[in-house]
Amino acid sequence: MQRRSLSLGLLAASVAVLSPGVLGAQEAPKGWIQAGANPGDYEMAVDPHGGRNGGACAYIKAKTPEARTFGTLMQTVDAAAYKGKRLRLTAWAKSAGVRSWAGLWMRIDGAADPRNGLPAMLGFDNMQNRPIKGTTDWKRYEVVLDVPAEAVSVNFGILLEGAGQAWLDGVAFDVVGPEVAVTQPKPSPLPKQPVNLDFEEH
Amino acid sequence: MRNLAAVVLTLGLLAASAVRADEPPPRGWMLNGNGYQAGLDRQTKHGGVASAFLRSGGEGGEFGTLMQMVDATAYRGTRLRLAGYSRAAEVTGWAGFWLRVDGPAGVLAFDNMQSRPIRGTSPWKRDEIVLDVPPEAKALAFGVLLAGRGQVWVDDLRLETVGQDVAVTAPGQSR
Repeated sequence: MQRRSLSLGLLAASVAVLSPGVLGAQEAPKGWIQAGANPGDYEMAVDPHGGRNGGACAYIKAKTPEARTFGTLMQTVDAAAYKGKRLRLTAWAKSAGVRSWAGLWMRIDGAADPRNGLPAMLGFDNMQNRPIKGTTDWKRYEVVLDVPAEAVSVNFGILLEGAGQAWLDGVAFDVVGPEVAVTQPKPSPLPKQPVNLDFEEH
Repeated sequence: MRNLAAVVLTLGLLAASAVRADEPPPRGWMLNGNGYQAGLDRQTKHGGVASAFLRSGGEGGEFGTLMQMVDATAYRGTRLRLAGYSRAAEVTGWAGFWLRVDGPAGVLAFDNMQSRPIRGTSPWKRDEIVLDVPPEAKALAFGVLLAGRGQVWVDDLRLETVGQDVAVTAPGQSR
């Protein structure tokens, strides 16, 4: 029941995002956070009529073609309701002129490491291995991750790196069975040796 | 007078943050920690043409680190030393190099210089961390950390195998 009410809360949040806002053009949709390495280089807001069915949707847009690193429109929610479950994030996205890439992403965080204060990353997929590039019409995308018992938070959103624009609509979560494969890519092997210890490589 | 100097210096730091907040971390390095920035500094350096800096942003944060992670295979069964040079400016918490040896089920050895921290403002100085790498080691993680506000520069790091004549700086945790 607790899970259901949280899911409903998430749905409500999604609905709130999709309702036409009284928000200014630069404001994040209600409940969403503008983040990323260079959020100031990106505009993240509501498009009141750009949605998949003519309603509102969210978008992230590089303010200039030279926008640096990435921006993301995201949320963080309590993982309690999803512990031990396989969680699927689905959303509709489209793109225009995305030169580098865009993607839907989800990350499962654990408790902060007492040694360095950083949360343990228990699961992550940002679609970097199946990126949204160029100009694309509305399409449904999925990210599926297992939420371990020690999970603390579920973080998700849409990211854009560099020039272009991406739109986001119809974001939803559901718990799926083992027949649905997780989308998290296999971890890449660690480098064998450290690099650039004298900071001469730029 | 002293207060004014502090204010001027603070404003200078804030301005520098605003200009360079966007610089990506140096090649091969990862930046972790909200409210922290890292990049190359071509003016303040120990050797060569650049050093790396790690600093708190305008609002600061709890903890930031500039780090690398490598496969431990080549270092198994050895005594490993991380040595490097650091310089500090107005570090309100503490800073230090750190080295961690990870095994299949957690941390095997760790030292972050918390017992001999870098604080306040200090000129270039060499520090080292020495740990044994057990045969079951999977990964090595190392870098520089900054707790609280301020800025540290690091340069000319080395990760090298040393003999048993060099003492470890922290005991292993697995046995």
